[in-house]
Amino acid sequence: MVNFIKLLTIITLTSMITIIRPHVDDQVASFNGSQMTMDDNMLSSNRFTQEDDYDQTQIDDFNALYQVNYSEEERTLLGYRYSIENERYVLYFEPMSFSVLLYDKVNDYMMSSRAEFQGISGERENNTATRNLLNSGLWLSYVRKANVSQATETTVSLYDLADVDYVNNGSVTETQTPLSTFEIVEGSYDERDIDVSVLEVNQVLIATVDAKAIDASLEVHLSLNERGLEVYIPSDKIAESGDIYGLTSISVFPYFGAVRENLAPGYMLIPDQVGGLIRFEKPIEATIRALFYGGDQGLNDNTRAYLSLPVVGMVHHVNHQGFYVSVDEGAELSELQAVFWSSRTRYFRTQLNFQLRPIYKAIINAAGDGRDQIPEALTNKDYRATYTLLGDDANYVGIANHYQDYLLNEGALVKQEVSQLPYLLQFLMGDQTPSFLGTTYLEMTSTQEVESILTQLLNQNVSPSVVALLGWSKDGVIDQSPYRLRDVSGLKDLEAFMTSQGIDVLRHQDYVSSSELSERIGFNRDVALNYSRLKMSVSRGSLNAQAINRYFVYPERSLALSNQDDLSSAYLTSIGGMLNSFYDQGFYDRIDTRMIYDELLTSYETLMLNQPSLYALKYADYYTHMPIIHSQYYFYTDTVPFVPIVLSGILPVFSSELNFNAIGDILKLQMIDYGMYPNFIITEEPTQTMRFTRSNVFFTTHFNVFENEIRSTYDQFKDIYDAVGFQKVISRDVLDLGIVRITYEDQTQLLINYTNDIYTIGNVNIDALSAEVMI
Amino acid sequence: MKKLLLIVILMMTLPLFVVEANGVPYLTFTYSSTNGRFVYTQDAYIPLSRKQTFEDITLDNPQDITFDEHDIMYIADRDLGIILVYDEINQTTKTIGEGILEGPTGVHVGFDGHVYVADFITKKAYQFAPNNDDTYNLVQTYEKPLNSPFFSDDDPFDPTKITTDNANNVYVLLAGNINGLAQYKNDGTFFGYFGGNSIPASWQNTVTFLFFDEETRRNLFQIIPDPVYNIATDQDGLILTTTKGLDGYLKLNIANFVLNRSVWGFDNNEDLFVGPYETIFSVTSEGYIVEYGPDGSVLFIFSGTDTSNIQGLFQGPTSIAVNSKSQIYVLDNQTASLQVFVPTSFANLVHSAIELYQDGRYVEALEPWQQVLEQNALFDLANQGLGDAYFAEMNYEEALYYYEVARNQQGYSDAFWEVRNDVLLNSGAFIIVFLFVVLLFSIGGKYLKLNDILLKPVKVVNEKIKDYKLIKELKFGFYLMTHPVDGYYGIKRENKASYLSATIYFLLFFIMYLIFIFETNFLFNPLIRSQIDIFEQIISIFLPYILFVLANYLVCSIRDGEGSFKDVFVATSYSLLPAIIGLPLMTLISQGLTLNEAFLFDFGMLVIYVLTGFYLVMMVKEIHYYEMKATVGNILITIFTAIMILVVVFIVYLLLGEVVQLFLDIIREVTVRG
Repeated sequence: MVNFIKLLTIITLTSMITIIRPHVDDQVASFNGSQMTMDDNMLSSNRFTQEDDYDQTQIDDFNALYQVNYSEEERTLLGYRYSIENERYVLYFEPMSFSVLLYDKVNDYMMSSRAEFQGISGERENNTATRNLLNSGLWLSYVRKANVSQATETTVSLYDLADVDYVNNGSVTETQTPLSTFEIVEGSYDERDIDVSVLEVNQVLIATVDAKAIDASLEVHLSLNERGLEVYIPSDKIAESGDIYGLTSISVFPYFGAVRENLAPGYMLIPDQVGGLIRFEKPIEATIRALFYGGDQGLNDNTRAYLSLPVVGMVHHVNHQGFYVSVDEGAELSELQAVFWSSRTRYFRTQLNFQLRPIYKAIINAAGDGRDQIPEALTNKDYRATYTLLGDDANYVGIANHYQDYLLNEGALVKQEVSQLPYLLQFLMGDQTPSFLGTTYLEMTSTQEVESILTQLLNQNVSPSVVALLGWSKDGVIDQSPYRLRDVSGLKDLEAFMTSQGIDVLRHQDYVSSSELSERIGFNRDVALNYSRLKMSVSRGSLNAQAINRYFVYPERSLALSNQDDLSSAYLTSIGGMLNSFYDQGFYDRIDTRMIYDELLTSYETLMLNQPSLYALKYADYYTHMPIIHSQYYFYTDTVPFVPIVLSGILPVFSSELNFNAIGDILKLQMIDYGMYPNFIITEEPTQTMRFTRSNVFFTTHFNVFENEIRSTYDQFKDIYDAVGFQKVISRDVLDLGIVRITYEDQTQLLINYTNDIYTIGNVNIDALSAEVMI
Repeated sequence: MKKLLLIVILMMTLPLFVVEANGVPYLTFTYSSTNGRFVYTQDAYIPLSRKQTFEDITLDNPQDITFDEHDIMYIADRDLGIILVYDEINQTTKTIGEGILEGPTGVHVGFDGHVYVADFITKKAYQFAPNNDDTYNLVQTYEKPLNSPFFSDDDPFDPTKITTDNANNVYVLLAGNINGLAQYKNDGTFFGYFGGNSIPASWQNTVTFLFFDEETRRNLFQIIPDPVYNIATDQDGLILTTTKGLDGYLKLNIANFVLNRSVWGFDNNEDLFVGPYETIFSVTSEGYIVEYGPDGSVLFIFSGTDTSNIQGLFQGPTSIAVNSKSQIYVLDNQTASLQVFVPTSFANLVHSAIELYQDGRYVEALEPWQQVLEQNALFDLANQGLGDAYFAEMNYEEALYYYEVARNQQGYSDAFWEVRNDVLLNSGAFIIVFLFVVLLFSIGGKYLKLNDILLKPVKVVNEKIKDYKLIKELKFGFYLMTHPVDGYYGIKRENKASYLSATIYFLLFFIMYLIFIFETNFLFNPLIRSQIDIFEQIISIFLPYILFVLANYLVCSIRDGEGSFKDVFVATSYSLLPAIIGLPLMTLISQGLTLNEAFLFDFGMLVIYVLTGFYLVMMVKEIHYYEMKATVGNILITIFTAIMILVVVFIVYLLLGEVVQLFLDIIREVTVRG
């Protein structure tokens, strides 16, 4: 009986077991979340572009009082002995201070490389040493080889080396005249320490600078072309004759077009992320200092700002006066320094520093001890920059258009033929998930399911122009690159199907960045060394508490892997946006890396790149993950779509994945405004299925959830595309707070209303939070 | 956990795959109980602006910020010595306290519309009442009580923050005061303390309490509660406190008991504020902003430390406040600025759902929660909310699923009870039939020998294998369970067991343990499957086992123990048989239990532990032939020895590592200098 009761108890308890069937809620509800409040605070923030609404008094004062203008007599007095001229420009050159005046004949104004209007504020300012910097157009930075250190790096101007005496030495006061701030005492220029000789050859001024005081010499070539003033520094002419000093960088015309305080009704343009403006309004106790093309892990430089285009602009008077400078050669080794009016200086200016050799830390033990060093050899790369003056196109759109034309002429941009609405769908096919022992491949979207989804969309008249496949390799996705060619089942058939539908199909790959989880990368063989001869390995925390090491791969190895795979089309992350110098039995700079990447990129027929920099743009058929804002330094006054406008009508640009849009219609309006196209990432399986994989960073991907939105977004953008096409933007005006008008090459206009109210222009009403095409 | 998150967030500089559709300089996280960790989520707030000047007043050392019911902003600036009152809509500025205040560090608008200020320099707190002409009059001062047993002449009185409840009682936070908030009636009468922290009940503190008096504990051991660092009040007038060194916040009821607390939090909060949806906001000294649900669950974590003048990040945050539109305002005294964040559509959706949920309108909250889940399938509160909604609709199976995802044990238990009840009711007939069949078989088995027929294949197999040595050895374990003394004797003297059988037992134990940790119902199992690292588990089982066997043998061999290494190894493995049998049984039983029957599970586990412990003690006694007293001593020394072995191995490993590193450093230096 006891046994029977025991048995009964067990059976009773066992019968209580309810098998829980995993249940997924298949209900689909489109996201109609409460919209964000678009009030004046939001629209007047630096997330949007503001009106060019300058006080007329300021404009009048600028035109009347703050124009650079020197008569011939004054120029002679100041030493501008040389001049060259072309149809558009006249250049006056003063060799002793290395200063220039660039005159625009068409728009009748002049820019100076010196800090003009010193001392006009009615109080003492600067001292002799600072004046030497303000008044010289060539700065040299160097270290003592016996005591290399970032802290002891010294920057001198030519006037510093020459130890000049000013007619009025010491601080500039209000009693000085504009000329006397620059006049030096005759004979005070010490040519024993610095000598500048100029040779004019075919309208090129070749200035040989012999900085005897620091045992260095170089040539700077100044010439005029149809774009403007070209500055060229040949690397083979940079020489060091002693063992005491080592040059580190050169800066030419650091005060070119500098704006004093808020005297100019204009702004500074920084191509940071999508683009940002800093209007000349108030002091800013900060600076920007950033390498072009992002940071350099080879030198442990983690620049915050991302300058994908080596160009910077200063608009003095919107639509009247301004300039921009582009670094046409040597951008990889150039740094932008944007300095603002503050307690330390009265000027807004942009300075370009060309790095001749970096200062790096030589590590001698595991604790990280070491000392700063410099490579023995100077760079063997040249520097070339062009200063272009602007007239009625003196605005960020004008700069973008100019620059686009130049890039097209140089072949740095290649116009893509776009015959349908660019629309990107990414399919996450699977990733590695933890299993009992190790990991296993978890399928999120099979090839059949991809085909089925695409067929469904095509039947609904949604035609994606490009499809990117993530997790096509059984290696997985996140942190597993570069992936081995372990294709999932049916991949080639799927690719053939998509090609037959006229869809560009791209496999995702990354040959530049890897991690310890990758099966193809060997730590000792493939992970690059930085200048400190440490492996370029960064530990990145993961949400499951297991930090993993991310690696930067030797460029040669990246090239070898790419050749090995021999893919004709791909979606490559990292390569366009990550450019590092490295050490491999010798020092290799970013240009060396870029040249290897050039070779890698040329082998692809169809390529999509993730926020690439200029050097990679010519290889790209698609540009993805364009940001919608700058790096968000608090002092930016506006966000402007500078980079998208440079690419407008040339290269289709996609946004980041719209799955993660938390700001609703506003993001889509910004995309339409900036000329960006939609991007979704989807899976057939519910996102929860992959919650234990590293792909859980994509926290919402289920096709069922996004099906309606994919369709409605397609329709929205198709309407705009049908009306506007794929065209170059020729102007962008902010008519009112939150109202933007974009004009295209064929004069079609698009009006964007970011406000919560209807806006009326002429007899056209633009609904709140909408876009309207006006032909 | 918080250290982990700190490391995670500090290391997280734009990984290659980062979702950044919304243009913010930080990542936004939420906590997922499913994964037991933080996960990315939609951006909830975006930084809008950074402001330093209000009309002609520029912030200098802002310390505290608050709003009144009309969204008028009040900022306490210590160095300016005023309360700045700013109307954002009309863009007008006023000041309070000029000539009275010298260093205000706390400001609060009471339920009566009066402005309460704590001034650190004057050592007083003040109450200002608005006049019809938009000026403010001082109506009350709160000072250090004289002739009070709570304050001696030497005791400091340094007001830093202030708040009131819905009865307009005033609570003044005094810097460093371990007793809590000084409580005053509105008329300035001090009447005690409120909200002080208690001393944590750690082992050390408990032992100290037993042996020392209060004065010794305070002076010698410094066992004093941590002083409250900042305070907030919710819409019902309940006080919330945050303390440096303690995670998150506490919400206190009027009786000074903890009503609820955050389920997780940073331990360096600078300020708290309760938002319009009764969600709680905090900002840490590193700039992380956390929004909690009303129940203390973590909704969002975002922002962080600013090293590059980035809008949306902070250098020295001091205070946080939220207006009626859920816009967040944070003061930073390093940059002397105010930063504003606006909620995204996603945050607005979550708040709408929370509002319905808080009102108990679970069913109405269903749709917004579903929309939230579409945006992030791992959003805890959404899963929780859906569980409650389905439970309210009596759709218990759906509720079960969402409770499990949210790892809400109580909810799951309640839903499971309902489901189980339903199953039992529906299968009543089946159970009766089944029992009847069983009864038939047992009767039939007894009289008709049915059991012999049914069990014949088992008997045939048993006949064939019973003579195998390994089978006998394995079966011996069961004999040992019922006859431990004889059993261990058999191991020691009669070779009744071997290395192989012992290894099999141990591996079986490990397998059962793995089944236990993977399959036990989550009501009784805190581990999350995806977080189980098999190699970690191997080490956590194998290492103690090996250490115990080795240490026991070593200790006993020098303490006149009779057992050989083989005896110890084998006997230890056999002692694990209760666990081998019990663990899978408990796993099975756990599938059918709710929290109401947790005692059954706990009792079962207790039986396993006690039995296994008993057999291990018996093992030591019998194998080594000790008396009981020596047995206990032997076991304690064994544990100590095992720890020492571990320590020695670790030290040797470290030293070897240093030697290797030395050689590598020499090579590196030669290479670099060469």
